[in-house]
Amino acid sequence: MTILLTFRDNIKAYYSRYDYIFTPIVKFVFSLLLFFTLNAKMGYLAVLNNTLLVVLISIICAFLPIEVMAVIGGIFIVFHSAKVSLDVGLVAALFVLIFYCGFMRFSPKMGVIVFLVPFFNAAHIMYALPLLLGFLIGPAAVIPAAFGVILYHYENGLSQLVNVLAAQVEEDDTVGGYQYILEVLIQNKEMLLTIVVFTFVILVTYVFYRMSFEHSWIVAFLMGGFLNVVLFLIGRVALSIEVEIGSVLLGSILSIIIAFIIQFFKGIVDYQKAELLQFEDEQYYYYVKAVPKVSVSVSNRNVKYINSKMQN
Amino acid sequence: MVREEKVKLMSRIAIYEKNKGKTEIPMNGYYKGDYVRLHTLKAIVSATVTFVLIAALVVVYKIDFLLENVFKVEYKKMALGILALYVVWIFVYWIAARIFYAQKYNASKSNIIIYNHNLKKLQEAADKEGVNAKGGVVISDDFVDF
Repeated sequence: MTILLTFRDNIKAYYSRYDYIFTPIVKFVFSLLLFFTLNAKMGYLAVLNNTLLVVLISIICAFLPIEVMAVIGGIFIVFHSAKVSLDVGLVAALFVLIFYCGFMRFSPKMGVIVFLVPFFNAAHIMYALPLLLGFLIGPAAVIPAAFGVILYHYENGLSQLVNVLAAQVEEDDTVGGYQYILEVLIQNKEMLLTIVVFTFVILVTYVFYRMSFEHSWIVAFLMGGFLNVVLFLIGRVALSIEVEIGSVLLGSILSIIIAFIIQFFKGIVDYQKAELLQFEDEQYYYYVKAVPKVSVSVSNRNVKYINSKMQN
Repeated sequence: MVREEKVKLMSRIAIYEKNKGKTEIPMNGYYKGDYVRLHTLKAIVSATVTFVLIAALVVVYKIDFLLENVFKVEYKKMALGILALYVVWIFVYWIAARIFYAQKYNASKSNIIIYNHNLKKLQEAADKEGVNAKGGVVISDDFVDF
């Protein structure tokens, strides 16, 4: 255990020291994965599906605030949808605008959570998401997570629509694209169930995680994982729909394991980072690099007992 | 000569201004009530826009039904229903925004106090330097020991 703790503290010290290198790299990789998963699912517009363009955008995103990533993602969705059919693009734009005005104006940094749902889905661990969001972010993640689920089903609906449109022989205009998409979304019980369960799991995990009794976090993780499985099971029976219960189970177990690992490394996430500063006074220009003091626990501690045991 | 204490103070101030200060320093220009009210008002405006957008989405979805029943729809009833929905919608946003911005303001308070304290110390140091430059003598605080 001591070795592990030392290892953790070393990583923490290292990361906080070279934050200005690591953070852009992490952001670059993240946005790369994000845009690639988006393109893989709905890459209808060839221009945006260009690997070089995605890499370029990711490089830009690496150095800009994280909300820019969400905005560019939104633009991607709208353009890809518009390529399928113009009215579908309009509907997508409406959804993006609703999300922007209704939520992202208040906490812009949370916007990117929307894209985590398709991203986690691509890794086949979509059902691991609510527990992680619950204890890392809390109630603020409910709305973006819900929109993420909508986005996931929207992508599926869009690929169905493409098939329907392709099967249509001539321009007999039997299928209105936007009507089809909205129909798919509104009559989708699975989407509704997923949103409700995600909301519930996020809130319960958050509440238990923040409770003050000892090891509340363990209770929170187990509770979140358990609820995730049980609620999906109940929903599946009650609404008589197909939910892949295997992946729910797998996702929940995985999320508990990931949550334990993240909890152990949590200090790394909320570290004080090194800062590169520039300022001046009347006489000098200052170029200051401020590195936070991080105490690294030493592994080879010597414990010397001063009080020897009293002899009876 | 570069004074270490001064550099430390300036660095602290710069770190704050670069990160949290960007949003928190303008916040400090308002009383809490004014800040919360102003931002709640803004939130209500964007909630209204969101409501209109959602309404547009519903209209788009129901367009066939609406066009078929242009003359059958009871507009008075519908308008009242929409108004009621709007009031509830705005109320939820209003409550949420009030809580959110009040918390945000409270969270910034302690940071601002430390920031102002650092600024004050820096100002004092600068004043002393000014006196020194004119040939005056400054006795440091810790020298005077009552």
